[in-house]
Amino acid sequence: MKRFLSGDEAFAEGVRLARPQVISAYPITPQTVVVERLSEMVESGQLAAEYIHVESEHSALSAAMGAAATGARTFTATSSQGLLYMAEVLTYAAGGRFPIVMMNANRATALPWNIYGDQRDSLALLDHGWIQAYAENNQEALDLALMAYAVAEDMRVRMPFMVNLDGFALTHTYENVDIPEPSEADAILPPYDAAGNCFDFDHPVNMGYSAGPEFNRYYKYWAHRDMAEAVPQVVSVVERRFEEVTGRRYPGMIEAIDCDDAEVVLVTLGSVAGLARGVVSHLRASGVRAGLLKIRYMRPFPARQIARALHGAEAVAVLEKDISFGAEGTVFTNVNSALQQAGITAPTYNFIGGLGGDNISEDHVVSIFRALQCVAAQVREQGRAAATELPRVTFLGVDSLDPEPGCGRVLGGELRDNGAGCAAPSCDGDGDSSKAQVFSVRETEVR
Amino acid sequence: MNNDVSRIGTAANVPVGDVVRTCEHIPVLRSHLACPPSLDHAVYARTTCYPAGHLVAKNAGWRNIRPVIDAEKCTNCLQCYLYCPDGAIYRVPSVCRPTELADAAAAQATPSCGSDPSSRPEGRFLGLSPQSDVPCAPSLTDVDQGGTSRQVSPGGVAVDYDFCKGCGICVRMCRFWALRMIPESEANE
Amino acid sequence: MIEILWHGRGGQGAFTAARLLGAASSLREGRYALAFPSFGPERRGAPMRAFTKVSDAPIGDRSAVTRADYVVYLDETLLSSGWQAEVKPGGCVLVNSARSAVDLTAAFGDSADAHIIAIDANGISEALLGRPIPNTVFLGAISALGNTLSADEVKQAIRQYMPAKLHEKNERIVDEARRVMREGSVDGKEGTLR
Repeated sequence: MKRFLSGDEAFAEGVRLARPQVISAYPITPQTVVVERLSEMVESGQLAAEYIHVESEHSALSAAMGAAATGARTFTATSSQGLLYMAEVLTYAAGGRFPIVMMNANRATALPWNIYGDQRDSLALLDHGWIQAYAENNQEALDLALMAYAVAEDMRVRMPFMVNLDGFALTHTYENVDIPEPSEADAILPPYDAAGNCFDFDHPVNMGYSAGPEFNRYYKYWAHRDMAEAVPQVVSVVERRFEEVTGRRYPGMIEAIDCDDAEVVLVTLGSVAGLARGVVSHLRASGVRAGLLKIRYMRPFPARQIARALHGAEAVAVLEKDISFGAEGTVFTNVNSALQQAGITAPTYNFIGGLGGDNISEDHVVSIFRALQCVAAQVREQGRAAATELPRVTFLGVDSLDPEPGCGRVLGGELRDNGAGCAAPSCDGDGDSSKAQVFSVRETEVR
Repeated sequence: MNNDVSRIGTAANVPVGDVVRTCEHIPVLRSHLACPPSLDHAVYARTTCYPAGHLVAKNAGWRNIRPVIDAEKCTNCLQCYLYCPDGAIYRVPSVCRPTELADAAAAQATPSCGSDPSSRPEGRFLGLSPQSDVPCAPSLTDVDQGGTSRQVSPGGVAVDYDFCKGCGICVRMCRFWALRMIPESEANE
Repeated sequence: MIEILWHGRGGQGAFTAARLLGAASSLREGRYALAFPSFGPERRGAPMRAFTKVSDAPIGDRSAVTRADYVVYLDETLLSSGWQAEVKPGGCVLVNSARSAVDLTAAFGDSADAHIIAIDANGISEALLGRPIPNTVFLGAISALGNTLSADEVKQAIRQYMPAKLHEKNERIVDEARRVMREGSVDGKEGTLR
């Protein structure tokens, strides 16, 4: 059934179809609508679940874990400060191997206080043993709700799954989604079988125990191995089943668009991938060998697939909505590691944008590709040392993307000129001229 | 003129820029500060701490109705002043308001709650403590040096239309029918 | 891509209109739409904007609309000089006003590239709904401005996304808005919903 829904509403539909038995949640913008809709469904009887009102996110995840420990399928949702508040429970849920599904509405972290979308919250918590996927649009969000349970609960996986939706860009933006029928959902997702990882009066168990130096590493080894090896395989199986049932096909851990013969590639995740698709399409039509690599899963990290997709690129940009202060964006770090391990030496550049709900425009994305083309041309002409002409880390809206003057002659084709020599927007989405600084002043790279 | 930022809000009738505010604790726009804090992000974005005591934008555009004061009915009970959620109603001090006038206003007033007028302390209320350098507010409508017109009652309250958002709580709280809302289109400024 | 920019005050239903237009516009196969409000502090009476985008291809750009094919002012006090900057050449501005478009352009400026259409949406909705809620009027008006969004699609969206008790009256408002666009009180040139 087709409905015009926001990302929050669409995700709630997906959760309804997954039929969790226990929902425990605390509201926080921009997740609130998910848990509100679910509470309405429980109230109306549309969803038969136990809905626990908790007083904090720490309790929300603790309650979900407690319920999971009784063998129930559970759901919770949060965002930014709420995710951080429950952070200590993330490791409990992961180490305890409870296949909880949590929706995280990606939102900026304080201070300064900000309710709008960026990806700092989840990208700062990649290390805690949760599978992490990022939705590009509301349909993918709804579908991930179902697939997350199927993957998480699979016998080979058994770990919690965080589905990330860009705050406001997805959560509060309305678009058409197809809502599967309950019978289709049941065909994708069988009932939860705790397989012994739960309290049982007939088979008493000791749960949540400690493990000292002589044993601890084995738990961590297997959590790592199961995530790295089992998850990609199970994702593949679940996606194939999903396609058989709904006709919608998902491409696994990453999606590579026009990467095979690409000279310049943009790597990104979440709703920005949707924006970049259109840009790549236009650039290709004008003869630019541009490619897009959309990362769907950040954990486990699909290092080999990323390296394979990028092996022919001459210059790579990673565009993400986070920064690890004093270093670089976390996705950039992960991608660089994958490339290094594969022996790929193409220069890579990090673009930090969208922080605190800042708009990332088509012009921004075009300018990133232009900058990559420029630096690729310079490397071809002058050798690898020319790669440093573009800073390693650029903050959209603060730093410049102004490549060397004279780039225009190397690139050829039409460049919009703002007097600084390269493509530039004159004004960002809401007319805020402070954001027009993107391409105006060149600054030294962040060291 | 007193340009010392730290003294803003500490004395009545302190001129700030070209706007004369006749009472304590009236919010002022940053642009009116003699030494405005820096708007260069290289300066302000190093902490989340910023000089206080001013607002950054007028929100007059939020309203399409505005409260107007009927000075003759106002008894200076100050309920509107206390209940305004945005502090957009301020007290206009007057040492000139004779007690006879105040008594007469109180006697005429017909509060909706029906309490005995003579039992209310407002009948003898004279506004703020007298200050010799504070003039009376002589007229019912006047225009301040900044060009903003205000509705004032003698020794009563006035509406700061730069920051009034038109919520109408003042009208709701007034027991003397001294306040009513009118469409912005009918306001004469 | 067709872009619609809605101006309203909190509580006037600007976002509801944006959403219904998006839903109506994407009912048919092969049509895509996005609808979203401006995100910021909200309260009844505060100016806000909402956006609808419609396209024959999936829409990946989730930025706010800056220049629209149609700009709708649900509250005429939000119309000011400089309105031209928000309309694409050939675009159209619809204003909820009992004044004429001639009066409005005299007050706020004219444009060679875009024109203003004035509709007394408050009056229409007062007559049919008993309250001045102008948003559905503009759904009807936009459907009348071209041939790619039909009255039937607007009504389907009303039936799918509004409470049942509001269906009949709102469908009549759509009809009345279309009649007004066709017959009366429209100064200026016809636009086309491409």
